[in-house]
Amino acid sequence: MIRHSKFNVRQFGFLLFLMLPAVILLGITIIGPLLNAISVSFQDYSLLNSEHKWNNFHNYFDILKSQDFYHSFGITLTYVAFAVGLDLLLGLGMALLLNQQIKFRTFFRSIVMIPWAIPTIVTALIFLWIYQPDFGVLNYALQSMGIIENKITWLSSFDFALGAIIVVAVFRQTPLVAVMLLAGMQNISRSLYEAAKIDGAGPLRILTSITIPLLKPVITSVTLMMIVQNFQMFTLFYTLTGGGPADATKSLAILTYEVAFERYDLGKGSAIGVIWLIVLLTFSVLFTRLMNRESHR
Amino acid sequence: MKTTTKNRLQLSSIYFILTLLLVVLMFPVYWIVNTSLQSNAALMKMPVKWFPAELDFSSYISVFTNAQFLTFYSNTLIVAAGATALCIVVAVLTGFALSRYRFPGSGMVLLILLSTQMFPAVTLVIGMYAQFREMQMLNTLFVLVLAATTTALPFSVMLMKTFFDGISKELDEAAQIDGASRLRTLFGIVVPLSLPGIIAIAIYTFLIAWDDFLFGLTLVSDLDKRTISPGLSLTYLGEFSYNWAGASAAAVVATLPLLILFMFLQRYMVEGLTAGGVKE
Repeated sequence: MIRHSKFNVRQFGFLLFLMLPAVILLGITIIGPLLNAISVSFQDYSLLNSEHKWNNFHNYFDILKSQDFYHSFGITLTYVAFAVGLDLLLGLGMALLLNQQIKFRTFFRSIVMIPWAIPTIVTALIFLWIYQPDFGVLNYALQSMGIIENKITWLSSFDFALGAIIVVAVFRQTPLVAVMLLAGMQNISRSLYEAAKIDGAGPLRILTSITIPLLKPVITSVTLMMIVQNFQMFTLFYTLTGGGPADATKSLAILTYEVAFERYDLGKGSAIGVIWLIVLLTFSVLFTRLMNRESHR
Repeated sequence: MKTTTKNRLQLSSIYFILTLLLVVLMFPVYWIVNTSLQSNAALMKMPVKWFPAELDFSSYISVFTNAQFLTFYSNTLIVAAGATALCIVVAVLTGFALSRYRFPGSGMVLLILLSTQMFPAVTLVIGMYAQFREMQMLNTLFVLVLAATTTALPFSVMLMKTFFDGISKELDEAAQIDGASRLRTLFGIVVPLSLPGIIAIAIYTFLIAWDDFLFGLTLVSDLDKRTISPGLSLTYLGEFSYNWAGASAAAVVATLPLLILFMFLQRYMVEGLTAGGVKE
């Protein structure tokens, strides 16, 4: 009896030792800042003066009344839809290629991962230079091939800026998507494919009836991961266009940053942040529920 | 006979597409190296040079003699190394607890951990700014270490838990019957067996920390505490944006540690990423 309770105390002590670091870390860097952001979002909290007081949901009213928020929300949705759609489509294609019985497969697989190992800021810098209107290689190549006549200012044009950012995002993200899908594909038993081939199924049929259905759990989690990641994409927007031209690429992340740290209105900035946190959390929960329900059917 | 020609055609088209893919993926990388080895004067003269006419290393020399850049560089190294060490310790301990024990609140911890991935970093950074301002901890590298660790933690804990789940519990029990303490069991037996997983989370955390832009931009404003991403952005993308050769050389130098790390250890990274799926 005594031994037993001693054992439990020890076990509890060990468990505490194991869990305490994570609890402290999450407390300082997640829970604390989250509560802070929520409390700040209800205050007149400017970095320019030291008096902060409760302002009766004014930050929230201001945001929901102004056009800025909806504009940025729309841009973010457009960006996410295209970036994630292309990530998945190209990633799936890449994974299918790498899943073939080919020589140098490991070599190809490691090379393909390289864009992912390059820091985002460097990727942004590379593409800033490629897109550069006067001396960049993109305009030069398109002009010498006769595809365009006049130089295009990719990142400061209303028509191209968002698309140009999406291209950079897809360049950096597709390899990771491909490798994760590939990992899922390699778990599908070879015998299934052989059986399908014996039954006379063509490659397209095999793809739609075996690979994609069996890959669905992986596709689901990769999709959610990419949506969440791109929804909060900051670095590429900030470095490539800074939200311009004239707000044409001002995503929610840029809007929030700008209000909080460039207009020094931490209160309103965190109110915007809290709103899209709620949107993102709700979406994630619904998405996961929906996908789980479908796979239980 | 007919099928072999068809197969051969299929195979060669696969190689063709793969090669094309490699060219597309590697071109930007090649391009930045090509740019960094030319002088700005050469870059601003059309036509575009696909190869440097003559190798010009002056941009690299000015990067390596630029005291400010070297400060950014060493700050980033400190933050990335610190975050990696911290993340390994926390992820191993937490992953082990979640793998071996069922305790009240364990589901809650897992839920909080996973949902942190859904929290927009921009929202968190405002909260961090307000909080660390009150704690007078803004402008310290320590805050950046904490922020990077938290970013990498959810994936790392899940990965370690999966790894530990794959190591038989009977092994721990046998060790404990032999008189090893719990701590000895964890660090002497379980941890060595999960070394591939630990290497995977180490690379992952290092990459995340090295890549951080937002936290470094907002939580630190002193020049001598700046890390490389905001440093590059503020130095080269601002008023000196004509210096493409210099920016490219700095970018190559900023990427080098990651590429070296990746070349040597990518096997573990792919294994680690795959590990989660294998167990299902």
